Amino acid sequence: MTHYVELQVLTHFSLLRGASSPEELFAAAAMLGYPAIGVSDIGTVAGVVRAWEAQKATGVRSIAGTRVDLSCGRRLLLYPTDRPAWSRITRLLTVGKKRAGKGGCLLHWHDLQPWSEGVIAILLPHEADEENLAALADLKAIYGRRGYMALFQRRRPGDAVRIDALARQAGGAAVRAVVTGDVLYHAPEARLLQDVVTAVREKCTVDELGYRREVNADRALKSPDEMVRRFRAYPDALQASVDISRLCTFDLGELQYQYPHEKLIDGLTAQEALQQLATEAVERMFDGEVPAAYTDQITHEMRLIGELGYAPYFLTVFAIVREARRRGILCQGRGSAANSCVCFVLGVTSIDPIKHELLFERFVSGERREPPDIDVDFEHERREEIIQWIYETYGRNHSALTAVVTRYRARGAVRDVGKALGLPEDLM
Amino acid sequence: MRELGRRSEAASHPYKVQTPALPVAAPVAAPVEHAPLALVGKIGRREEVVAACTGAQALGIHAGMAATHARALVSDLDFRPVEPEADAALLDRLALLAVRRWSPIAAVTPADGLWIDLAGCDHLHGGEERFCRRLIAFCKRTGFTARVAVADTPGAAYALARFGRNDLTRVEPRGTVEALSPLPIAALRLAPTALIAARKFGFERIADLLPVARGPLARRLGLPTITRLDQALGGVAEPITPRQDIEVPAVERRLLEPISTADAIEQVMRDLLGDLVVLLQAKGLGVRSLRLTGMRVDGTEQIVAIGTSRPTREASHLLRLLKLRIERIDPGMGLEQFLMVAPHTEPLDAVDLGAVLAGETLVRDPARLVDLLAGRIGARSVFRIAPVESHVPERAAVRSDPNELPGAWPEWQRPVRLFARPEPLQRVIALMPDQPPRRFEWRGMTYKVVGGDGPERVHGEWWRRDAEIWAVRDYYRVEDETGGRYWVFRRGDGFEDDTGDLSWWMHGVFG
Repeated sequence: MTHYVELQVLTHFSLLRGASSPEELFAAAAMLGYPAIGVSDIGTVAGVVRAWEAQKATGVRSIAGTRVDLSCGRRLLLYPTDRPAWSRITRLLTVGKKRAGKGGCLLHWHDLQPWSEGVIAILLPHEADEENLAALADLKAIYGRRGYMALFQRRRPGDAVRIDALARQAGGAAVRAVVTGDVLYHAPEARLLQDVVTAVREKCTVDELGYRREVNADRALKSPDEMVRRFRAYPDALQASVDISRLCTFDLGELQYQYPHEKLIDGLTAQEALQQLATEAVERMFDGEVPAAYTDQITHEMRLIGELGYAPYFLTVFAIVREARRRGILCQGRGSAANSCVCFVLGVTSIDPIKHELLFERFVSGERREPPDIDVDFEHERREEIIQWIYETYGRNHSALTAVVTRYRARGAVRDVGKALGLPEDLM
Repeated sequence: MRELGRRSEAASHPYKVQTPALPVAAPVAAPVEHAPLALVGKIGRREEVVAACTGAQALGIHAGMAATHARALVSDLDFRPVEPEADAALLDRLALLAVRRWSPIAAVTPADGLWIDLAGCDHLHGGEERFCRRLIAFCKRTGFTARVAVADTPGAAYALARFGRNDLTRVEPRGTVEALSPLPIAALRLAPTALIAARKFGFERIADLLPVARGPLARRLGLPTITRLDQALGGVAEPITPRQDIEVPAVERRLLEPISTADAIEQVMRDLLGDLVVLLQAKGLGVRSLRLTGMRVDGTEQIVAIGTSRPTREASHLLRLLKLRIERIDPGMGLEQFLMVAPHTEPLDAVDLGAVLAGETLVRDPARLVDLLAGRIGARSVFRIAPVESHVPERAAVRSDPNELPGAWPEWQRPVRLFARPEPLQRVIALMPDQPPRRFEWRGMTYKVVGGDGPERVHGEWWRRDAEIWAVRDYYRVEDETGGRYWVFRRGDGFEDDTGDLSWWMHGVFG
């Protein structure tokens, strides 16, 4: 049983701050003998998915969290104790991201309060001064016993004195101190990459970085034994890291896809509504004399849709297609959805799967257990009308154009690293 | 303008202007063997070869080529960024030299030439022909490849120097039209748009333009084209704005009787400074250097010189500096004549005293103190320590101009005295990996440490040298029994072997 869990780790999803991927960090953590490490990227939780995957590969438990750098200069690590707390943290980040626009996350201290229930907050102190005392008092007021303060080394003059003073301040404010490692990369040799990444962030060459280079370059993940040795004067703060890791039981696997309610016909469940719509549609199609092949196929499909709970999704697509038809906007379903007779009778697709003997299981299958996707193309000149209708019907907070987390591709990375190393542009 | 008057009497003074075209591509001494060189600059959004030396041209590199292309062709070519400002400054210096040595009217023609108005000067240099040869020889000595043309008008000289067949072209009076006719139109200094238009209409040589009626020509190629043509042929005057030479302020005193005492010399200095200050005031200049020449009765000279770090025309300050030099003057049998010149002057305008009047504190300018100290111990010995943004202590400070205010220092403490080279410590007893030493020996003395702080970890700057890639120093501030505070470091982080050999060093002492 180790006596330390690392809770302050940036992955490279903290763009141009962290230098190592979750895979590298977890592999290193497994080698060093960590039972768990926290993942706390700045203003995002984008790294936790890969961390969760790495957890499955390495057996090191990932504690999903985030770090928020507030407008007032205070910095906090936030860890959820359970799933509702996780929702609160992600809601809080949404508030900050909406405010800041692309790539940013602008949060103020007063934003924390509404989303603080069940959240463990670890204050990252700067110096042991008046401002830190005030921050500790504010932290205590919001998070109570779930508020902690981090103790980490900076390898600067007076470091021991600073850590001692901080520990005293925390003790005085009745906030428990917790040891962290302030990790930016997984192994000492990644320091070079860290410098390059900093230069890319500051848009200059490594040589011009000067003091913008990380002052403390001792930021690799260190073994639990080494951390225990360094902080042997603060056994309780070491124990606190283990306690926090035990309190944070939330696992990313608890997250399930939750489809919102879709009601097209009052008084019926989504499944019943879809059943009714499909039956009506097929009867209209064949004027009441429905061939047995169609009835059987629809019954088969409806059973599978019911088992997997996809009815609301079909209803949503149908609603959008119906609206487009009503407005006379051309639209056409395509892709694997054409294998579905339900989609055909509802008018979402226009290929008869019975006539062409298409297999529904290629679209939705019990074994595959992944949600179906129905691609619908709209007339591009009037696509905007449909987008606006979706916004009006479902609300701006519930609809979105698809977003992608930007990651480096080889070409851009080579260009930026070349710039940081001061190579002439035409060489890259 | 004088230019105009002369041009009208072209017959009597045939040779007017000449242009050494100085290809900027070869600022390095041309005859010296050097690696093929190409200059690379940004044209629009594209990196292009702007100029290539003959060696590079032989390898197939030419101006206008994409830099990437050139690099791909010849990988070990010496590529350097183009510096147009430096080229212009160099050309300007040449123009100044021309004004001082050859003709009072000389000017730079952008981007790579000089105009020298030879009218009335050539006989001073042994005739036109001889002067041109000497000019080419001079340029060769100083590392330029020069082409010289002498013609009736600046425009013609420009064209012949750049597009003529030989390195040296001389056009006899009234021979301009024949000389220019075979040259391409580009020789006329036309705008790019006009050149494109001319190519469209099939005009290639200047001769093609001559028979065309002026009106249609102006409509097709633009009025500036007509002007350029007339300027080259002498129809329209093109005055040269000469490079102004700065006159060196100088004042002089001849004495009735020779003097030899320090007091008397000081009095002369004072009088001369009084005169000089009036002169400087009128020109709005301040002195950066001052030279006092005393003529002895026996005909030899005694020279003393002073320099100031900021332009000044304050007589009392200059006198204080000059007085420091009196002892270096050997009066011999007596001095009978003094000449004071200010070879280096800079503009000195009125100072805005608004802030001072408003009661704000005046930042005290150390320039005078610097001058006085430099006068006694030499200018090199007066410096200021300025911060450099580097985490490596010995790179974090440089000597800089004492008058410049330094930037901000980082907040962490550094020893008052930092050794240029760290000194090794012997018999160090310290707990690994992150405890300060308990005792150590330095310069043969044993020190017992009673307190310490650290480690402060400093990593090597890996992009500078291979040896620094993994190098680590752990610095400790330690205090010994007698209260002395030292800054010691250990090479290596105590875990990895390639970070250092764990030897201990003394790098500085605290006050």
